[in-house]
Amino acid sequence: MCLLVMTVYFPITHPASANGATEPDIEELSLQPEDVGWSQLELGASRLGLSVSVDISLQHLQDATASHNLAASDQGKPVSAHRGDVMLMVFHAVSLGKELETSLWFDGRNAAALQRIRHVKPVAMNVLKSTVTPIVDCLQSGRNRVLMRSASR
Amino acid sequence: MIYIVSVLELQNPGDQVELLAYFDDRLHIVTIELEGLESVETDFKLRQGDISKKVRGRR
Repeated sequence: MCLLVMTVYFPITHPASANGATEPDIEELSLQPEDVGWSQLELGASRLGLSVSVDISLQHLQDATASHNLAASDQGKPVSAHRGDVMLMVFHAVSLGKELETSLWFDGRNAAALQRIRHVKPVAMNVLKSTVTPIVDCLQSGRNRVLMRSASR
Repeated sequence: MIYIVSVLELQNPGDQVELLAYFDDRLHIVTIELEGLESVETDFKLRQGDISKKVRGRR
């Protein structure tokens, strides 16, 4: 259910032009966070005595809240978001005696991942284990963007 | 993916977006393409503010 999407530069090359250089046929993906038509989804299913339920919530964060939420990294400079466009999506799943909660911060303009925190909790034992994963900008400058190719057939 | 699909403006069959996604310790090329519209059986509850209603049937 939860994929960590780290959107990066995606060169789609065309044959060499007259001067021998190849040029990518790309457009930068520009999403509009205000176009999202939902803030919470609840999904559930059961079969043969096994059941799974997933709650998904989506928030558009204030800048102050976003900067407070995002962890610093000693492994490099974290990917930054467009100002005012940090989104927080929280997945809460219950299945097979475990609760799994995944919080994912991302840039609402291009869906670039910023940080993920996962909590795994056995329902019966109430033991909590969590990991924090800041997304580190290990790519070249300017390549942490989502690019999109539109094609109509 | 849920978020991207929510805000993409794919309107005609064949419209698509290609992007890279990182999961399972590797990069994947993901293509999202609108193949067409079809109706499906639905059974869900719709909440808008304080209003909640059951939605069931083919949509």
